[in-house]
Parts: sequence; C-alpha cells; structure tokens
Amino acid sequence: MEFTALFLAVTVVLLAAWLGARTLALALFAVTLVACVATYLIMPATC
Amino acid sequence: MTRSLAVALNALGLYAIALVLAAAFAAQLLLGELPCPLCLLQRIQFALLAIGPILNVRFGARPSHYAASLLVAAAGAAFAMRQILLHIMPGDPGYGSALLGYHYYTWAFIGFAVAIVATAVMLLFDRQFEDDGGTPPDAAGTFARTAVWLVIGLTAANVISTLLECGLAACPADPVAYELLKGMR
Repeated sequence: MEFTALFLAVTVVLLAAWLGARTLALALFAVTLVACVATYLIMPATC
Repeated sequence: MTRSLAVALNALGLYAIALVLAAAFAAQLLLGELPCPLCLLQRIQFALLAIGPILNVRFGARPSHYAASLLVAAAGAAFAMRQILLHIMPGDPGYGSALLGYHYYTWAFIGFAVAIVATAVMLLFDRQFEDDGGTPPDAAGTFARTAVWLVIGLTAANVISTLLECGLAACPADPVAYELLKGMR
C-alpha cells in the first residue's frame, strides 16, 4: 500500500512540476523524496 | 550550450526515463516478473528522476532542477546497491531473472549511475543558465511535451499496477500474484 501511495505522490509531483507553481512542485518533491528514504529505512532487508 | 539545446537534451532524458519505465512494465506484464518492494522503490526513483527535466523544460534550465534529479539518482543508486548486496553471496541465485547477464537491480544501479554522470555533464555548461532572449521557457515544443506526458502517464499506470499487485495491505516480499485480483475472486 505504501508503494501505491508513493507512486501516487510522484504522479502528483510531476503534474505539479508541469502544470503548477515551481515552489509548490519543489516542496512536494522534497516531501516525497523524504518519504521514499523513510520507507527504505524501515523496510525489512529482503527481496 | 544554448537554452533551447538544453531543453531538447532534457526532453531526451525524459524519453530515456520513459523507456526504463516501459521496459519495467514489459518485464512485469509480458514475462510475469512481479516487482518486489525494493524493486518498486527503485522504479519510483526512476519516475521521480523526471522532476529535474520537467522543471527544465517548463521553466528553463536551472542548477537547482539538476540538483533535484541528482538527489533522486543518488537515493536510487543506494536502493539498488542494497539489493545487489543482499544477493552478493556465492551461490545466491538473485531475485528474478537476468537480462544480458545482469539482474534488473544491477541494471537499475547502472541506470542511476548513468543519470548521475549525465546530470553532472549537463551542469558543466553554464550558458544554458543565461537568458539569451531566445525561446521562452513555457513554449516547449511537441517533442518535449510528449516526453513529459509519456513519463506522467507511465507513472500513473504504475499507481494502478502497484495497487493491483500489493492490494490494500503491505506489499509481499516475494510477490507471485496480484493481491487485489486474488481478493476479488
């Protein structure tokens, strides 16, 4: 479920970069990147 | 390097990202290779890599846009390296099948390394950051606009495929079937 949410967040970031304000896109990007790193840090060491 | 050439090269970068996302989809749909959680995280980084080129096409090239993509590529390379190290012991068959002798996560690491080098090379050309009075940043051509929508479309398609694969719970470590479709039967 968390990966679906991350893909959704990336889609929103890319749409904001293309259609929205630059500052908003960069802010959303920062939040999404931190969420990706956080997911990586808490996931089990498998696969 | 002029601003318009920089925009064209950034559009080419977007097509390269679209190619990677499409290849991952092809492996998933045609070969039945369902991505594991770490593979999904690497795929997410490839999609997020597009932030820099999209901002460059829309607003004109800026160092901060390239920096955003560099951060993503560094994170993606770290994620791919972790998966390589998980399977580095002799006798470990690795996860999934290999393509031209390398597993997908090894190719992902190579892809992120190429992205880091390509972005660093782009940053070498200072003239792209000067306003030369040429094409306004917002007037992206069809070539660039198509690239942007291709990447956004493929990322949106990944939302649906990941939802089908993982369902509404945590994604299985070694997925063998689409969880949401299993739940509907």
